[in-house]
Parts: sequence; structure tokens; C-alpha cells
Amino acid sequence: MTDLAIYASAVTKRYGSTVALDKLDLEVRCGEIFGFLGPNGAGKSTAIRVFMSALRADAGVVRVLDVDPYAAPASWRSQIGYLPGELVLPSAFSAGEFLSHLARLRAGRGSEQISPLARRLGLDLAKPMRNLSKGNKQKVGVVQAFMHRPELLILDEPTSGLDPLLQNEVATMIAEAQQHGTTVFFSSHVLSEVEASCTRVAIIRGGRLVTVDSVARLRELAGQTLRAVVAGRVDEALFDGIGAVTGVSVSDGQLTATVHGSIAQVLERLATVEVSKLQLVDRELDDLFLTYYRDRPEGPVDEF
Amino acid sequence: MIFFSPTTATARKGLLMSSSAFGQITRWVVLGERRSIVMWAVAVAAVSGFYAVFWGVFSDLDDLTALIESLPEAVVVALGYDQIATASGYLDSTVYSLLAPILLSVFAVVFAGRVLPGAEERGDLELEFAAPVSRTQILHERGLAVVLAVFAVSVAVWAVIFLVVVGIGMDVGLGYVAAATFGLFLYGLSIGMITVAVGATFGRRSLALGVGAGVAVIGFVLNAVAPLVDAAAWLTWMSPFAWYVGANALREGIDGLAYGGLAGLSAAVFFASGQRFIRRDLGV
Repeated sequence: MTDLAIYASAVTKRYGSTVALDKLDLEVRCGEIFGFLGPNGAGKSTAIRVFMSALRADAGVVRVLDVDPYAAPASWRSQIGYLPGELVLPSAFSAGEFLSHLARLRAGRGSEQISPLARRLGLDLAKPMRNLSKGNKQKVGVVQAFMHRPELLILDEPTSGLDPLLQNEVATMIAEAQQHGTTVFFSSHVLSEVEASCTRVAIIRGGRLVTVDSVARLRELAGQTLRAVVAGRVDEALFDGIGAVTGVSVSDGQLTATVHGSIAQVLERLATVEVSKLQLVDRELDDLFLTYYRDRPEGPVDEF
Repeated sequence: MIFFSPTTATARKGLLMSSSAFGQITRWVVLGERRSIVMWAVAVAAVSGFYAVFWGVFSDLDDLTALIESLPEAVVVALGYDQIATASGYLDSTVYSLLAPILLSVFAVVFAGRVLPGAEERGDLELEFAAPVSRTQILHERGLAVVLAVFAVSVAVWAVIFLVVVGIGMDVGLGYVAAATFGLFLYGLSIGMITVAVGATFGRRSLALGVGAGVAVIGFVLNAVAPLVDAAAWLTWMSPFAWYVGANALREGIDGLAYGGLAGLSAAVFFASGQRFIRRDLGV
């Protein structure tokens, strides 16, 4: 089991009568970038807070860096960089003061990284944090998670509130951390966000693991939405016989369909009609849930 | 503190285990609350000093004794006015048995409610919990911040009363002023520690504030009312406020039993709450 950074088996967590985690199973291998996907309220933050020892699981086995978080000594947390999903910062202090404080709580580790990381993300260390925008507050959270070069990064929606440029920068930082041997576990409710960096992705819904798969496979499942403006007589039968196409509709010369996997055949058929405009858009996680997982809310799903 | 532990199961790649020395969180909390601590210290000391200074005017009133004699005895005792014609009695009735403990306990409840259950509810503690600091240490450091804050306000009261007693020549021994102020500190501390302990146990700010304020108010009322009813006199033992004022430190100095009881109550509820704090879910 030592090749696993995070191991969870049949982890259950209830709040009163609400079941937040329902026999969740999860295995995150050392050195990988692991995406933790699910719609809002799926139990992502609850699972993460169990891994961080803020919450105690009602049942099941949890090991983070080979240790049961609930029984772990305080020093165990020095190997983890954690970005909370709901980041609250002490408004009276500046980002620099707060980050120095956190470095002191880690016996000084990471203090030399504060300035370089802040410069990299464009974070003003001197401003009181009450005057920081949501994006800048998130930068503070990112810096404190990375600065002590932890063995494991647990990031709860790391790019929320950041503009696309900074989202890219954080993605780069995640990739760099992995190259240095760090395991990265991060949650998101946006498929495209995990797509670029993750090796494997778990999907969680209703507190249960729905599936663990490669990003490419999930992308194929989610598919792309095809929109075309066509002239002349075109009907739904255009794509008949192509297994990768579903949900074809034509109205007022507007053709839409969902394509999973290769679009080669689709393009061949489109070439037989007059197309004045063509658009292919990646579908999002919400769509994946709406179409693919709608009829089977109970996981795990072993085969597609 | 840095040490290597190559033999434990967590030792990976010769990893550096590190945790934090005691004091950083206390420093951080006091630094963050310094403005409110100073404002409260100034305010409580100013009100206390203002009333103490009035002794200069009050002691000259010939009608004072006549006024007190005209009141029903029970009322006089309840208000603590039976000794009001003496300097120590006046200082006791106005400052040490009335305004200072009321204001100090309000401060203790508000401050303690903010630095533990309030901070937890807001989410301020999430990153502290994620740092290599044990929950016990977090509780102890934040509890220490409450001790220091209540102490700071008490010292401000002591300093001002000291100046007034010396300045207008009140006939009260300075040693007794120090003893009474120490009792005031222990009383305020007991209210603050009850608030922290309820917060540590349940993680609910409103509950902590309610219990802390409730103990202060009920204790105050019991102390005033219970002695008037023979059958209920024993109830005063349930009131930390009665322990404090019953010591009568301005005339009799430190009461070891009463002061020890207040200190013991604070320590007992505080350390007992740690047992729950290290086990329960945080920030839910």
C-alpha cells in the first residue's frame, strides 16, 4: 500500500440524517495528478476534509501518506499542502504577514518561497487582505499550499475565482510540482479544468464513487456538441449508422448532434450536404451527468 | 522544532518532520486583536477610574449616612451599600463589585467567543488545523490569548485605581487594591474560560456566548438575590461572581479558597473541553 498517497475504503460520513459520503472508495497513487470531479454538493469537500483530519469518518478506512489522518501526529500535516474550498483569510493582516505566520507554524519551512511565488502569481504581499479581490485571495491560498514543497498537495477547487491566465499558471505549477515528485489531488466541478493536467480522474456523485478513469476516456464519454447550419433538405437520418452520434435534431436549417469519439465519419457525411457553418464544442461535466449518469445514480460503474 | 524520524511508517524519502513551537498562534491572535484589547482596557479602566474619583465628592456628603439609613436594610445589603460610607466600601460597591466585573465579563465573553468558536465558524481556523500543529496546542494557545487579554484589561483597571487611590488619598491599602484586582482578573478569566470551553466542546459561537453570558448574569443575580432568602442562601455557591465578591478582598486581602476556586474552575472547564476538541469534527 506504500505506493498510494491516498487510500479510502468504504468511507462513510453522515451529518445527522444527511449522508455526505456513502462508502467512498478511492486510490491515489504516489506521483500522479489525480482529478476529483463531481457536481457541487457531491461530497468532494467532505472527502477532502476527512483526508485532512478536520472530519472523522463514521466508517471505513482512510490512509493519507500511509497514516490514518484521525490518529496522525501533528507533524504528519507538514507533508501536505492544502487549499480549502472555502478559503477564509484574516482580513486585518496583509498576505505577507499571513504567509509568514503559516511558515512559522511549519517551523519556518517555505518562508523563502513566499516572495518568488507571490511575484509569479502577481500577488501584492503588502496590501491588507480585506482589500484583496476574490482572485487575489485565491492566490494567497495557492501560495500557502505550494510554498513548503509538500509531498502531497490536496487542492479543493484550486482555480476558482482565478482568470484564465492564472488558471494556466496554477496548472503549470501543478505540473512542475509533479515533476518534483509531488502527488497532486485536486477537486473540480469543471471537466475541462482537469483535462489538461490529470492522469486519472475520479467522479463522485451523491457521496459515492461513480468511476475512475483516464481523462481521455471521460472526454470521449462526455463527447462534443456539433452544431451546423445546413442548406437544403437535411433530416435526422443523415448520421444513421454512425454509433458515435446521438441526439440528432434538425430544425430551421440548424443541425445539432452529440458526437462521442472520432468525428471522421461525421465529417464524411457532412461533406455530402451543403454546410455554411460548423461548430464543435466540448461538452461539460454537467452534460456528462445529464446524459450518461442520469439513469444510474448509484456507482460504481465498472464498464462503459 | 525539527527532528528526523526515519523509523516511523511516515518516513518517506528521508522526509523532514517538522512541527511548530508553542507561542506563534497566541502571538498571532493577540496581534490580530490588539486594537480591541487596548480599546477595552482603556474603556473599562476609564469607567472604573471615573467612579473611583467621585469618592472625593461623595465622601464629603453629610447626608450620605442618613440616606443609607433611610433605605430598607435588605436593599442596602443587596446593593452592597452597607459599607459605602468608607473608602474601601465605596470602591467595592461602585467598581470592584459592580462596574469592573460586569464590563470585564462582557469583554471576556466577547473576546473568548471570537478567538475560538467564532474563528472556527468563520473558517479562520481551517488553515491552522491544516498546519503541523496539534489541536491541543491550538486550543492551549488560543486559551492563553484569552488569559493574556483578560489580564491586560485587569492590569489597566489596577493601574487606574492605583493612581486614583494615591492621587486623591483614598483610605484603602494598595495591597488590598492589588488583591481585589487579582480577584477581578480570576473572575473575568473564569467567564472567559467557560466561553472558550463551550466553544471548544461544541464549536458553536452562539452557544458559547450564551453559556458564558448566562453564567455571568445568573451568577450576578444569584449573588444579589439569594442572600435575601434564607432558604436560597446556599445557591450563592453556584455563582462564580459570589466567590469573587464574597472574598471581600478590598478589606480582607486574598481569599485562598475563593481565588483558588475561580482558578480551578477556569482550569477544569478549559482542560476538560480539550478532550472533546481533539476528537470532534471541526468547522461543520
